Amino acid sequence: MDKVPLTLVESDDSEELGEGAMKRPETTGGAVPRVTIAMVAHNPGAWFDEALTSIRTQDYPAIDVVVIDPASDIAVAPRVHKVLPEATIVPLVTNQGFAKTANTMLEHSSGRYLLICHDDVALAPDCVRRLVEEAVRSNAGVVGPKLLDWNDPNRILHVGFTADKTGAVSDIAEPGEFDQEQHDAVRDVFAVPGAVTLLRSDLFTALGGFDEAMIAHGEDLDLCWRAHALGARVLINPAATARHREDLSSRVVGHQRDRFAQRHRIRSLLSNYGLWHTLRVVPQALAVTFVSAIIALLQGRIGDIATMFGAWLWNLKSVGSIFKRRRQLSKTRQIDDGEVRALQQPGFEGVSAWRRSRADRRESIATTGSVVAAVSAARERRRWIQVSVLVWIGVAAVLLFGSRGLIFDSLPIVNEFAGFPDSPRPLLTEWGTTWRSTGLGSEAPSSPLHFLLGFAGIALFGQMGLLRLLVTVGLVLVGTIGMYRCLAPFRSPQAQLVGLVLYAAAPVPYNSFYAGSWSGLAVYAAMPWIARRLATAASLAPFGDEEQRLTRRFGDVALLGLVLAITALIEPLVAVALAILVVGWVLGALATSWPSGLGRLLASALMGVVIAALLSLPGSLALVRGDLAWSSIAGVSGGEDPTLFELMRLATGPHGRGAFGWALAVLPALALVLAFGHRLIWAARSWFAAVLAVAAAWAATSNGFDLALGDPEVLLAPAAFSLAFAGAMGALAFTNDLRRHRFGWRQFVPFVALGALTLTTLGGLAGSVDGRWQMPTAGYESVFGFFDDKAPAHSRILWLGDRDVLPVDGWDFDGSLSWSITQARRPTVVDLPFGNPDPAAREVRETVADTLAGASSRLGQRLAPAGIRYVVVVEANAPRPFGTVERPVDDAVLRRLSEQLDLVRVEVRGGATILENRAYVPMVASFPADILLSEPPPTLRQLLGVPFTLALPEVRSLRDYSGSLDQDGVWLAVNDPSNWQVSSGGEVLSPSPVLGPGVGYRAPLGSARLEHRNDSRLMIAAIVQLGVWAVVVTVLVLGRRRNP
Amino acid sequence: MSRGPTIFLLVLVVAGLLFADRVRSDATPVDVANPDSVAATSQSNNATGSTWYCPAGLTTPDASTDHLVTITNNTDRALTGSLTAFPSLFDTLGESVTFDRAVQTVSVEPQAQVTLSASAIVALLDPTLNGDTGAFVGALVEFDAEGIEVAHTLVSPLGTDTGPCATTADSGWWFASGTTTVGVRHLLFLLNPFPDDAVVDVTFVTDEGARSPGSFAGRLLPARTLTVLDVSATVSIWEQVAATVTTRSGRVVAERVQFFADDAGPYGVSMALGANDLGEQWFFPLGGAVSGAGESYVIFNPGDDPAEVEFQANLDSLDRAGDVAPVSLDIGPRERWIVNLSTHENHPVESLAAVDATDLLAPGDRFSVTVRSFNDVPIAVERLTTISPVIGAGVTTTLGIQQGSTDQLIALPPAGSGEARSGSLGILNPSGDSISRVQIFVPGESGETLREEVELAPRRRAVFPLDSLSLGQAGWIRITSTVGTMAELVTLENAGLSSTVSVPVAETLSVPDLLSFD
Repeated sequence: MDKVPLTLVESDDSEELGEGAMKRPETTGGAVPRVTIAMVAHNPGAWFDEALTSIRTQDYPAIDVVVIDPASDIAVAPRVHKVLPEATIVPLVTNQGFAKTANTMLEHSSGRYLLICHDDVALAPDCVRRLVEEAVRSNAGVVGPKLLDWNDPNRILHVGFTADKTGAVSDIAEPGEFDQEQHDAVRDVFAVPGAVTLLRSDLFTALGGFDEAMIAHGEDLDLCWRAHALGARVLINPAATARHREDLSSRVVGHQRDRFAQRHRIRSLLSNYGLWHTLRVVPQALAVTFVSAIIALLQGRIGDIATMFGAWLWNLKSVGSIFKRRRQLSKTRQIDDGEVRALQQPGFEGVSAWRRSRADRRESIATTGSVVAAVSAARERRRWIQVSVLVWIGVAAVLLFGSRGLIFDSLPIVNEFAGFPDSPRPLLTEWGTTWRSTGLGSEAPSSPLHFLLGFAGIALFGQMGLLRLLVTVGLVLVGTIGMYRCLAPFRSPQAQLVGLVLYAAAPVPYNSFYAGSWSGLAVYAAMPWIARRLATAASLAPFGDEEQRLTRRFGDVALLGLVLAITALIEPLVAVALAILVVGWVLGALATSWPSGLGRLLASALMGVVIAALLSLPGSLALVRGDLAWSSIAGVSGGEDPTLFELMRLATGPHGRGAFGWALAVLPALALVLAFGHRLIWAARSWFAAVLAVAAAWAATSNGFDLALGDPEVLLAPAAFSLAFAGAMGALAFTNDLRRHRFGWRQFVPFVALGALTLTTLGGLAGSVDGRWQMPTAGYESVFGFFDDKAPAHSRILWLGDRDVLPVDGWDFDGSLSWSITQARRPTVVDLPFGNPDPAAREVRETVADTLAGASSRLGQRLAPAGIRYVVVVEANAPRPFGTVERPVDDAVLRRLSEQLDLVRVEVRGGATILENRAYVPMVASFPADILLSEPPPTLRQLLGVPFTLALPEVRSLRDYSGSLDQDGVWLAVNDPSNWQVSSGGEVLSPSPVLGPGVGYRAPLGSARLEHRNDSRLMIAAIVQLGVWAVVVTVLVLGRRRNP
Repeated sequence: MSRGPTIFLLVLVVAGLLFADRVRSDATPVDVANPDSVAATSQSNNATGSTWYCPAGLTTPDASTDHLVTITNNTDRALTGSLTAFPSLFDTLGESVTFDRAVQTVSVEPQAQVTLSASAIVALLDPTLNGDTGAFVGALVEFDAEGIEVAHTLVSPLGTDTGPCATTADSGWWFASGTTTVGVRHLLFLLNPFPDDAVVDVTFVTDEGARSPGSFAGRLLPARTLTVLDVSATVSIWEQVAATVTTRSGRVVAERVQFFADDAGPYGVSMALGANDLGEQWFFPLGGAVSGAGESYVIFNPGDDPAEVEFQANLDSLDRAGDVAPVSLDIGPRERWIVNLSTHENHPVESLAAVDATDLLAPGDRFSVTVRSFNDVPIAVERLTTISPVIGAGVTTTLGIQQGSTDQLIALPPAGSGEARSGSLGILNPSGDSISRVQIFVPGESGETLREEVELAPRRRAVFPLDSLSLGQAGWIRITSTVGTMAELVTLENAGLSSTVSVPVAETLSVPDLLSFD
């Protein structure tokens, strides 16, 4: 043995230890404390000689070697004596496990220090010296070396252990980590590996040695834990190294390693805490066992479940010995559990290990480019792709299942879900005319909506029913796809999937179905796309960077404008939704003191709105100039008030009303308390947007505020998006930020998150059961279909009712009711959008209001000049018993109407009251010209006193009437007759004003034709508008191809 | 970046929302009077038209029986409207046969009154209507302007009675009083002026309970027709019969006419609209208006729940305030009870369900009457006043009043030529705590002139003899007040006893607080 001078350093920080326990080693002068190396050798292999040789070559001068042979099958002593002739051999007759074997040293140890080691370690020549030096220097009770791989000493096996509260250990070094001196600082650890452990003999004695119930595995942790309790320091001195094969325990316990590890961990847990910590920690450990068992069950590891619970049972059986050990420890305990806990790691090792493995895998790829790591990452990517596909299949399946009644049965005409014409032609014709038939008719530019729907109808080979399905049910899918894509910049499949599931489970689209709110669906579908474009254009991390090229940024803004404009075709209030989002994001950024990018955000939103407004000209201009009444867009305030709590659950209808509805907010809430960095900023932004949206919906639906903001679903769509977004941030925080928190309630987040996601999903699933999201099984298609048989081109309908149930768009009647006038036909999308009521229509409204105030009992007569043949009061979204939304009209209104002496009730199913005007005059009628065109013009009473007939009965479209005249005066009841022309015998007739909105023509008897000619300026404007759309789309498509 | 302020702000905003929501939830809705609950109201000042229904009327070719429709133009401009007559007859089986309507244009000068005779209109119609038996004629008056009040008078050899026409049709009408004894012809006039057919059920309540004659069940009232039901020919003899008219579909206007022609009984004619709205509290401003007359109050509970009713006569004399204890009545479902304050031998109120309260008041006591249901069960109350044939002739019934008004008008029944009007105008302040300043106007050559002005303490009334108001040939009396009041007019002239109530302007209606009886 080489003798190397040993320098020992005295330590002044000696501690008063337990009775008969620790005393400072005797290290005075040049004397060195004697070390007894105790090697447990059981059936050692060929390496044994090398292990023995490593002892022999130690440079420490005072070493005794004791080799304990626990009844090996092979002869150990000759091999030992061959290398270490002075070594003492302690043969045992049986092998009772490592702990009991090692405890033999309680009798044979003669040195001040005891170094217990396995038979498969090769100590570095200075190992013992450095361990002793550190033990003396640090006044440590237990010191361990850095353990290296036997075959590859460049890789670290262990540099000490840490453990969580349940005794689950984890390595401080990663398995297989390259030794780059990164761990070469002396450090306190919770336990040192049992392969090489230097400890003071007196401590070993005071501890009573290893726990002999521990055959193998865990005895090192247990020993160190108790050493801590006695106030001993436990250190790793990485300057001391040893190579280790790590196969002793497998030789001892074979394939039962896991079982022993579990048992012994729990035994330590039950034995080493004081009473209070035992009561506190044991239930947590049990909970962890249960959760682990569930996970194992899901993964099919049934054997592991048996191991987990078997370990508890085993300890239950040994409860007597556990109590005995507890009593022993309590007698010698010097340190309370609180201090011991401080040495343990926070949280649960199982969760930490899972997170660590994932983070390290990513880091490994990034830093080392390791092929292994890359392969592992690729495998994980594949796994996530599989999971994503499964989730998508699940979401699509639920949507299809929940919509099966709408897809395979019927999508009823309910509220905004207007009917579609049987072919694309009426839509394209509507686009091709400047005559708007709603109200009493007016000249106005056409809407691109008609062109787009007509074009889409052609693309679908005229399958208008399919088109209607796609632009209603399909919008949900568009929204969910948008949500998934919106989260892509976070590069986290988990976040994307969580966002997708939450957005798909949000009640907004399903309550939109229930309420017949096409606008709610449209904004729901558009919201993620809008948010993505907005964030990208504003270069908000991680959607873009500030160095992004201006052209690229402008492209994003243009795309934002396009999405807004397309959505505005159905619901112009998407601009309000955008405003909610922007303001929410600004508030969130300010609240988190992270105002970076706010200027870009506001500028991008503003530019997006400007572009959308340009694409929506001239309607947007009319709104800005005040020519378009707000109520024409936003309807009226009030309606059926959802409570604030219902709005908080986004439950404007039956979906989300249950207790499960609150689950939607749990994951997003966790994001707020867990996340760091940009995840926290996005969570805050999202939350502010969500709260703002709920507040807006509350104000708009409360009767006390005179604030009309459209359907509540429109306002809650940003809330749904924001909650899903914040939920995704919660998922990100779970994987990235949770470990940064000390142990506390946050550690239960995984379970809470899992539960919340499950409940949210269940809530969504529950709504799908009836196959139509609780939409009525039948709408007004059959009830109002009867209008189509009654000369619809010659008559009109006056609609009255709550906006929530009217099957047509409407204007504000009195702050609570809506009203509108359409041709007397089944309502279809052709009648959209409504625009402002024309002046003549406003007069009709005044007439109705007067009558309802009791001014007249002849409403029919008074409506006759407007060509109104029917007054329809709608009180439910579908005829009874199919209706799901009831909005009863004030009984006084119905009473007044039923008291009219010229209105006859048409018997139809309840839900709508149809009154036929017995005093009706067709809007194209023939009168005696002498009376019709007399001077002064005839009064209403005079006009109604003469016989008249329906004129020009052959109708090609609402702009083209022809036929024969049996009287020489033609009456046309339209608001703006400037572009109407009556011709007879090739001669164009001159109009004369007659009464109210009517105009009269003197025509010779015989055939005549009444035609509308487009306003050329408006038609050009419509074509230009379509051209602008085409240019914007083309530029964006080309731009994106160049800059993918 | 910091988490704390974010969470704090969010919690603050949500808490603010919750607080605002709670505050708003505490708001209570304001009670608004429903003008439709009163059968006759004139149109509000900002309205542009009015429609009046006058169902009950009979005509004979010699006009000895006539249906007079009096249209009062209380505005400063001439108004033009129309009167539509709905004639009908009984066929030999007693079934109503309807005829084509006749429309007559009507012009009324400013601050003037026009009275149209239905006989004159019917004379121009189908000859069948001009037979000796006469015809039934209902009337519909339409004006495209506000400020019109319409009343109608039934003139007959037995006497006359006047009442306001209805301004609303309804699906339910209740008549607390009615007589089917020998010598009394009891007719129900049901006018359906609408273009839809109506179907009605008529039930009656006597001492023997409710009864629904088969011929009156599911009765079809064709659109735009007048149907008359001869109750006395269908319902057996009862001194008091309450009636209910309900529609299965449509809305109608119901009015009752009773001809008392029994030499041994009261003599006269009574015409009254039914109540189209039951109520918990009814007022009669003019109690004891005719000295020596029989006066009874018939209280009808047509509902399914028993009513706990109290009847109270409020004496004018302050010295004797509280002397008259309320009469408590438990009126079962579909029952009617009678409180007799004064009777005579021929007063047709013989009934098992009657309370004799004749000793409640001293002779000469003047009072108003309040009837109140204390358990929220709505009731209808009518007053029956008859003059003993020993003294003279006269029968009238008056439906109680439920709502007060600050602007109301009473059209005076046409006076005989040169005959001075005799009768009383009673005005009651039903409020429990407010004093009402009342002004009475009468039209003259230079517009309406103030005739009387008086302050009415809470729950007090004032009675004005008509001769004290210097009516002259005035056709109406206008009453304004600072707090909603109720007005009633009882006249006793050669043509008989007549009572009528005021027609309030719709938007001045107010529902008095429910009173407690001390």
